[in-house]
Amino acid sequence: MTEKLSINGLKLSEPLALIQVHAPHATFGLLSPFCRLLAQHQVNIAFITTTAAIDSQPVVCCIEAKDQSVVEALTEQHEQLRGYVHFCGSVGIVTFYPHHANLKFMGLALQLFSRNRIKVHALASSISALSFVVDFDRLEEAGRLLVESFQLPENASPLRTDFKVRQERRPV
Amino acid sequence: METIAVYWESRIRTYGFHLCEALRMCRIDIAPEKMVQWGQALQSMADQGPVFQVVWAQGGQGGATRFFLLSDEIHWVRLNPFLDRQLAVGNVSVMGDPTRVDLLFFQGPHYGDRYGVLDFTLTPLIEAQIPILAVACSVATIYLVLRTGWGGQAKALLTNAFEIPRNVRI
Repeated sequence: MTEKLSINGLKLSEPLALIQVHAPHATFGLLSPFCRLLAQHQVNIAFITTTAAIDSQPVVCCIEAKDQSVVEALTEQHEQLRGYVHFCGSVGIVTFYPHHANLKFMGLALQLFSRNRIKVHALASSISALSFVVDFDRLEEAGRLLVESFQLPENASPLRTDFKVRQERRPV
Repeated sequence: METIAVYWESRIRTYGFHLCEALRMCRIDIAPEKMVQWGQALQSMADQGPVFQVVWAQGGQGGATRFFLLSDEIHWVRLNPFLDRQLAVGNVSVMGDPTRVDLLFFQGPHYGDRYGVLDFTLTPLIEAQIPILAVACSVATIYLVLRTGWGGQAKALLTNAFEIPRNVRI
């Protein structure tokens, strides 16, 4: 029997909104105003990827689902961004670690998700983890598939975020 | 019961910047009907060990998923023949020629949970007209892919902007 690949943990995000920012031939120029707009209104970017400077791909971004209506209104009022920011449904991020910079871990996850028709909207590595953006209604299933297919520490189960981080101005 | 942590930070802190120069960046398109084979092929890399500095992917044109892989020269020697084989057997639909890039990455406390960090990062770089080719932010790590030769200047700019704790008083 083939030994399972070992990971130390797995985490499932809260509901997120998937956003694509895209303008023909000009997408990369929208990245900075988009990030500035979100920062000004204290909206966190949970995940973002873009190669818009070198190909025609959109900026792909996830924000908390609770912020979607605010960001929709803000981007529609923004002179540069109006019409170029598209909201693409409710998603979640499943993250596991470590990946050891070894493509086998990504390969197994992609195979599992594809066989089970779980669409991966985006993925990215971080220093030690791999994160996959999937439809939120498939997030639990994605986590379960990974738990079944990787070797996890005994009694491990997917971790849900149980605390929030908030930024404030220090009171004077 | 919900736990909330509150951040007060006059300058955004980071644990430090990592610069990898002259990496190979390759672009690989995978059609949806080939994703299972692609996943299997990646697993079959016979315990190649670490091969990438960063990898990301997103949905591309025509339903394909576009992967970007950055690898140093040592690992590229193992990765390149594998990718050529995948192209030859049709698992990969398009593979652009690898380009040389610099990779600057860093992480800090709760970056994935706090607003404004990417905006804070991009501002000095865009003002200095640093050519940013790609950005990927995942968990608490920010990756900046830059035209080769620009990594040092970008690192210097960000080192000035961010706070890097130097002394820890226990």
